[in-house]
Amino acid sequence: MSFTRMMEGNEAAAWGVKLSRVEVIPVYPITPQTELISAIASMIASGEMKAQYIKVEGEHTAMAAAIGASAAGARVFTSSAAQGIVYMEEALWMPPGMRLPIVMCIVNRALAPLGGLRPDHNDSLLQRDTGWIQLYCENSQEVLDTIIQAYRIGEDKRVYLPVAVCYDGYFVSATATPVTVPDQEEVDRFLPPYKHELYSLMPEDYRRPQWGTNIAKARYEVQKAMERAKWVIEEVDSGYKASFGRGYDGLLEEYSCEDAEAVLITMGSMTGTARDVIDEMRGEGKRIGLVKMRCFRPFPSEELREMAKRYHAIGVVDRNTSYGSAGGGIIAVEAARALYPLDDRPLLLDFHVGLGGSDVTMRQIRYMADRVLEALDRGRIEEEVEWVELIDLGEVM
Amino acid sequence: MIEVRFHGMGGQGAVMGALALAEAALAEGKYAQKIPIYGAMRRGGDVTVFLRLDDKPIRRTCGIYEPDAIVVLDPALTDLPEIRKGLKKGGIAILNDVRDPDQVDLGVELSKVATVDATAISAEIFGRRPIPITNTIMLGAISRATGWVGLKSLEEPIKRMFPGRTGELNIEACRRGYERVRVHSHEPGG
Repeated sequence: MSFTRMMEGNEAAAWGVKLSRVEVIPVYPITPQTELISAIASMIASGEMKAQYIKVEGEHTAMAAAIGASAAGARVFTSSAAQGIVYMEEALWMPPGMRLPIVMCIVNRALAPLGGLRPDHNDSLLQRDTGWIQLYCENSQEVLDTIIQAYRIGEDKRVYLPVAVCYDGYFVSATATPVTVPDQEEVDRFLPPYKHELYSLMPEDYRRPQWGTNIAKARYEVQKAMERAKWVIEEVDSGYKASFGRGYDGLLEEYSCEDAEAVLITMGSMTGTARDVIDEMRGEGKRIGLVKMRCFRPFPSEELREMAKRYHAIGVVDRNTSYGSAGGGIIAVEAARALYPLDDRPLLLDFHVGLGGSDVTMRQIRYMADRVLEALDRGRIEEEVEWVELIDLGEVM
Repeated sequence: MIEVRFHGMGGQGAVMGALALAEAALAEGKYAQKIPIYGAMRRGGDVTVFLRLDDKPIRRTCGIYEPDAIVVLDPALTDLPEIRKGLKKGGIAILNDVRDPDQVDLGVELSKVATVDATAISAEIFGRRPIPITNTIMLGAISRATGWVGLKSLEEPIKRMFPGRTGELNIEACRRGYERVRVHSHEPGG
């Protein structure tokens, strides 16, 4: 039976894992992910969930065990954050190359030393070149729903790639909101059991890995799978919506964009806050909308390009730093490449905010939205990249 | 939307209290959101929790810096400047405090001040402790002073959180908070 109750993001994630009938879970604890894996451990201990829970001595081993189990034919889940993800990184390159559909929650947390226990997105964005699909969730309900979707996406034979389900530590992981937990039978209908068609390492079902000796071709296949993943993500999300009544518009969601001349692009939990700010501005007659970037890898280039034809100014909110980059944060640099082929390119502004785990406030979002509209009015950009937290907005904090 | 900030000492149950209130609101068909802060604003281990209540889904995830109401679980905290910081003019304060509500001055014009001697009630019910448990008492006081949730709706979540005898004691604590809270309302312009 489906039910709704107050639940923190980490517990919602544990329900997503349980409902996906995951079989092997190698994990190592780290704040703010610990409550997620302890919720899973409790579910296994009480007998309500059947899975092999492997307590490993570190994140690198967690990923190594995940690779082995997934290659043997098990549905696998793992999770980490911040330093844990970085420590895991060497092993993170394996699943995409081996075409293993592992699902991992990255509970975003800023990296040391210039960060605390709270989120920015550098830990997951750092892994953008590994070949993992990256989906970013706005709230606990989306975390639960996206984990179930992630298995369908990754295990689709057009894809066979691992999926990272990213959500902000603290603002999602420790925040309790009403979460609807779907019925197990309905999830079973949506998500069939995992069976890898390319290979299995189990002796009774041994099938040799197929990637061969042409490395460039194997890499090209990963790239193609990433490109196909775009429409699989869209397809799975609309299928999910048809089954459960909740969907997230696939790769990008346009919110309140009717007649908008400018948009702000956000990712993660700040999107919820931005919705309220955009509503307020719409009420004042301001022609600004919001674009939520749900999928960062594969990067929704064509979708963004299509969308940008309608807007004359775009503000990208980057909750990350890429020191010495071509200009601004990671999303802005990607967006610039995506928009470059347009004949009539929109103005592109970039904002660094929420760095090292600081809160992204309504006032900050209002400031960024106002700056985008100012640029639109002037027809030019005063500052390409702004560090919003260094600006005194008279905030009572 | 109502934005509430809870302040308590570690061990007084501010987090559980806010969660019980959120669950009661959910059971009444409303929406709620609870965000805890651990470690920040540390002074003798004080804990801050943000709670939002609304009739429609709550989307913003940022902290609450200009609350409509504050709830203070320990009288030692009431006079700290960070407790009243940002509290809105016309807002509400619900305090664990021996004073009459009209004796309380938080330096901002409020629409309502409610006080209850939750430390004394806690001693009656749970016995004397170095850090008195006051969360469920404050929930009763909140229910009476604000009507955000009914007293009855609080019982289920309290029972779920504290099974058995502890639950019964906490429900009694909640009732006494409800009965003994004193409320002083300031009429607009009055």
